[in-house]
Amino acid sequence: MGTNFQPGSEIACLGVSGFTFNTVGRIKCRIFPSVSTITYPTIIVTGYDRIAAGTVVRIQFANLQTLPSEVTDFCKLGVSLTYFNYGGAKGYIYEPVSFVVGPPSAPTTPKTITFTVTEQSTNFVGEFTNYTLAGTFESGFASVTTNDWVVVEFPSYIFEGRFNLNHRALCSLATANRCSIFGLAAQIYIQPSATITATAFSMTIQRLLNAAFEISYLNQIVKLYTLVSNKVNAVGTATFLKFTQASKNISSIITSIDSVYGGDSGINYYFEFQLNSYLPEDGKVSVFFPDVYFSLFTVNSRCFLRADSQTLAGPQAYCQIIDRYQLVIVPNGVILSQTQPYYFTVTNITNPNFDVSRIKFSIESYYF
Amino acid sequence: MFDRCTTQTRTSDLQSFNCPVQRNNSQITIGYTPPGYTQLYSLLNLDTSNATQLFTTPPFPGKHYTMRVNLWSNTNALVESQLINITTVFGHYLSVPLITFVIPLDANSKGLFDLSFTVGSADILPSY
Repeated sequence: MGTNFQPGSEIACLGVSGFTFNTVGRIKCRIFPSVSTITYPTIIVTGYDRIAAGTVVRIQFANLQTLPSEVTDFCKLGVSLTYFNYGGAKGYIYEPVSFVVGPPSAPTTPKTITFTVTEQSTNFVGEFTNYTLAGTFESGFASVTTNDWVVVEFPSYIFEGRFNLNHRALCSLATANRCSIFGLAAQIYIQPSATITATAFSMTIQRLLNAAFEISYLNQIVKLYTLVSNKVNAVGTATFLKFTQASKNISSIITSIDSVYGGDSGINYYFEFQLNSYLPEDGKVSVFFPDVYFSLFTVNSRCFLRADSQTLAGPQAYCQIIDRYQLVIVPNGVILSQTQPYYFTVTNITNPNFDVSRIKFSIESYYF
Repeated sequence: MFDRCTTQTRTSDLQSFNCPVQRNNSQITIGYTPPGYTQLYSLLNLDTSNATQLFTTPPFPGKHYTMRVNLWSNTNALVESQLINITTVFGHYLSVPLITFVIPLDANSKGLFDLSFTVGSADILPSY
């Protein structure tokens, strides 16, 4: 396992259950391939908050190679702790325990899936795209039960590789079951809500975020296959045209200030901005004051969304000064409107005591 | 003060003495003046009858818990010094029957590895 990876490479993984992410936002899985016949390839998972005793934890790793035919092996699972204050000394909260995996068997010749892909997209980077896959399974295909998987494999970089931005994607087959998006593997594993027995199918994948790269107008190949009892049963490919272009800029103005006289202090600045392009729910809008101003901390400024904008964005959104010259507007789990302006106020500013007509504020939207 | 410190060079030769304990922040120093000193093997036992004053295992596992032993002469010159790992604090164990690891069953293929396990009696600390 992992022989194609550099040590420490991040692999596609998903924290299915048992995790909370208040600090980092997602788990990160790094692989360290075996370096000799007596060492094991190791996957280190980090990025989670405290996990309480007794919690059932489920993690999925995608696109890793399995064992050879009829080989049974064992894996070890433990939880280690690294003491950075003691030169990286390591201890185990849970000592590694061994458990048996396998054996796989030789693959069987899969049935054919014939299908087409259509996409509905605004074709901007970082925007949502909806996909529809429709077609037929070759007769004699094995039913896909609610414990099996339908897998859609896109080319790399079609959709955003960071799963936390895609965890709200919707798979029509799996309204009541799992729809696991593996960004780094560009794969979507769908566990259907009801057993698939009919040869004809049509399904949608909605709210999949375009990657933050421009793509030239190009035919892209999508692979679709079914995994029945963890063996590939039917497989097919289809092509679709896809391109993305850079997103539009945010627009922003200072609508008014309480005083235009240099050196005046304790005055309010009123801002207005409009996004014009999609910002994920976990993103932020950042406003930078020019450094000719006093530090926003020194003058004890505050910022807040105007009441009507607060209503528009919802009660969970907030504005916060996070640096001397920087404040952020945090949507905090909602998608801000791309067509309506938002207003916010920064209080207690001291005007610079000279002409600042050539000095500009800057605003940007971003996400991790 | 520990009141059950003993030194023993052979089975028939057990000597008791009191050993003063000092604590300076996290540094605990136990000093004692041996009844005599030879370079022979000697089993030193540092103990107290007050169970509430016994050491407790640190809450975190590892092999980094060390103890330094210094030997001073009667003129307060440092004669020997040694730093040793006093103990390895072991972690808990996950329940093997509660671990499931589903791997792709087409030989040599790439696919989904689905791991599920139940955390035991100790919390797993945050990992960032």
